[in-house]
Amino acid sequence: MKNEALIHDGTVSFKGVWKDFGGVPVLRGIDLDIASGEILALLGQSGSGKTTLLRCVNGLEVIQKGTIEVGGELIQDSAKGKNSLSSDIAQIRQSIGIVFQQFNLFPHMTVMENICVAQIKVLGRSEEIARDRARSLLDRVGLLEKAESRPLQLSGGQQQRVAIARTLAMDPRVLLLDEVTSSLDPQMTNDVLRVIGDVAKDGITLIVVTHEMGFARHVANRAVFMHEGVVAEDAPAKELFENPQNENTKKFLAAVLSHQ
Amino acid sequence: MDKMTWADLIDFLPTLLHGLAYSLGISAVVIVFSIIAGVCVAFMRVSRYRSVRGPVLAYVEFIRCTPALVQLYYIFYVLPIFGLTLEALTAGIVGFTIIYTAYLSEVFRAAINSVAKTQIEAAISLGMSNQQARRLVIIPQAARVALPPTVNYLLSLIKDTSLLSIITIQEIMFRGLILASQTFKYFTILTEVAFLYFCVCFPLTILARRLEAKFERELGYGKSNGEKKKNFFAVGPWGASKS
Ligand SMILES: Nc1ncnc2c1ncn2[C@@H]1O[C@H](COP(=O)(O)OP(=O)(O)O)[C@@H](O)[C@H]1O
Ligand SMILES: [Mg+2]
Repeated sequence: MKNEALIHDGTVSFKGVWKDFGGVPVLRGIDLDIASGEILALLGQSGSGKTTLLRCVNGLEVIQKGTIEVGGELIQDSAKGKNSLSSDIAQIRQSIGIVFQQFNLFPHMTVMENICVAQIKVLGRSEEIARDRARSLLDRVGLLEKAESRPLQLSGGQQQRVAIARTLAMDPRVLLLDEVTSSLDPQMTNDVLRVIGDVAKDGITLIVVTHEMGFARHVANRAVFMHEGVVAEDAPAKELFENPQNENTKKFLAAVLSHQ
Repeated sequence: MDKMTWADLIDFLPTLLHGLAYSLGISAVVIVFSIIAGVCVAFMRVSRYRSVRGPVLAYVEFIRCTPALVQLYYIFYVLPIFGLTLEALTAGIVGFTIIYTAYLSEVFRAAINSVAKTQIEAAISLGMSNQQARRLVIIPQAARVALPPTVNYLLSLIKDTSLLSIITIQEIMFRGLILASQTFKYFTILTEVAFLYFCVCFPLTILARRLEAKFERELGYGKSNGEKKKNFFAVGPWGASKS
C-alpha cells in the first residue's frame, strides 16, 4: 500500500473554487481544467491569489466552496463540510510536487538525505534505489558534487535546484512551482530556469507561477491570468502574450515587460 | 580563619569526591527522567486541545514560580503528613524530576515552535504523514535547538542538588558541612567544595557554547531560509538575547 500511487495521470480540475481568509475572499469561483502534461503559466499581480490556488491543489489550504480533482481523485470537496480534504490526502500528495519560493530544504539533512528521505519513508524504496535516483537527479540539475553538503552551505540557486530534485524524486504527475526564482539573482535564476525547461519535456503537468515572462512565453503552452481571485484570461501562451484581450492582462503585461 | 594546607585538602578529598559522585549520580538520573517527561509535557503544551494544554500549563507555571527549596521541603516534610512518606533519596529524585521536567518542557516547547511551519509543509507535501513529519523533520531540528539550553539546565541541576543536603542526602555539600562542623575548617572545606563543583560545571558551559555555535551554523537559527544565511554574521535571535 505504501508505494502505490493513487493518481495515474496529471489532469487538474478546479470547479467553482472559493477560498477566503477570515471572511476576506481570495479565490472567488475558479473554474479551470488542465490536461495531463500541459504546461501552464499562472500570471497575475501580487495578491491576486496565485499562491493560494497552488496551495489548494495539494491541500495545504482548505477551500470553502467547490471541488479540486487531480488525476481523477477528489482532493477537496467542499460538500464534505468543514474538513473538505480527501482522507487519502497524504498518499495523493506523493504524486503532487510543490516547490516553494524559499526552497524549504531540511537543514539538518545533507542534500542526499533531503532527496532520499521521502523516497524511503513514503514510497518505501530501498536505500540503494533511492540513492541511485538521487544521484541521477543531482547530475541532471548539475549538483552531483554537492551530494554530501548541507543545504545552508549552498547558494540560493543551488538550494532551489536541490528542492526541484527532491520533488522530482517522488515521480510526481503534477508539479507546482511558486515563484521559484523570485529570491534569486539573475545568474542563479538562469540556472534554475534551465532545469525547469528541461523538466518541461518530461510530460509532467506543470503549473508555474512566475514573473519571468520570457521564460513563461517560451516554455508554457497555456497561460492563465488571475485578477482578484478569478480567472480573467485563459489562452494559449503565445496568444496571451502577443494579443491579450483583457484590460487587466494588458496593463499587467505592459507593467511587467517595462521592467524587464 | 583556618589555614589552608595541602594535607587537609588531600585529607578531605575522598569524602568530598564520594559526595560529588552522589550529586552527579542523582543529576544523571534526574536529567534523563526530566528529558523524557519534558518532551511529553512539551507536546501537551502545543496540543490543540485546551483541556490538555490547561492543566499542563498550570503545573509548569506553579513550579516555575515557587522556589525549589520550598518544593523539596514540601515533598519531604509535608507529604508525610498526608500519609505519603518517601525515603530521602527517592524524595530528592522525584522532587527534582518534577521541577526539571517543568523547566525543560519550556525549552522543548520553544524548540518545537522554532521549527518553521514551512518545514512541516515541505514534509507533508512530499507525502509524509503528520507523524512522519514530526519524527523526521520537527523533532531532529527541535532537538538541535534544545540541546544547548538543556546542557545549561543540567549544569544548574548539578548545582541545585546541593539543596538536597537539607533533606539529609549525603551529597557533596552535606558531607562538606559535616566535615566542617567537626573540624571548623570552613574556609578550606567550602573552598574545596566550590572548586570541585567548578571543575564539573565549567566544561559544561563550554560544551553548551560549542553546541550552540555548531547548531546555529547547521540550521541557520533553526529555519531553512535562504535569507537567513545572508544574515549569518548579523545578530540573530539568540545572539541578541545573550548581549
Ligand atoms: N494565510 C493567510 N491568511 C490571511 N490572508 C492570506 C493568507 N494567505 C494569503 N492571504 C491573502 O490572500 C491574498 C492572495 O494571496 P496570494 O495567494 O499569496 O497571492 P499571490 O501569490 O498572487 O501574490 C492576499 O491578499 C494575501 O494577503
Ligand atoms: Mg505568491
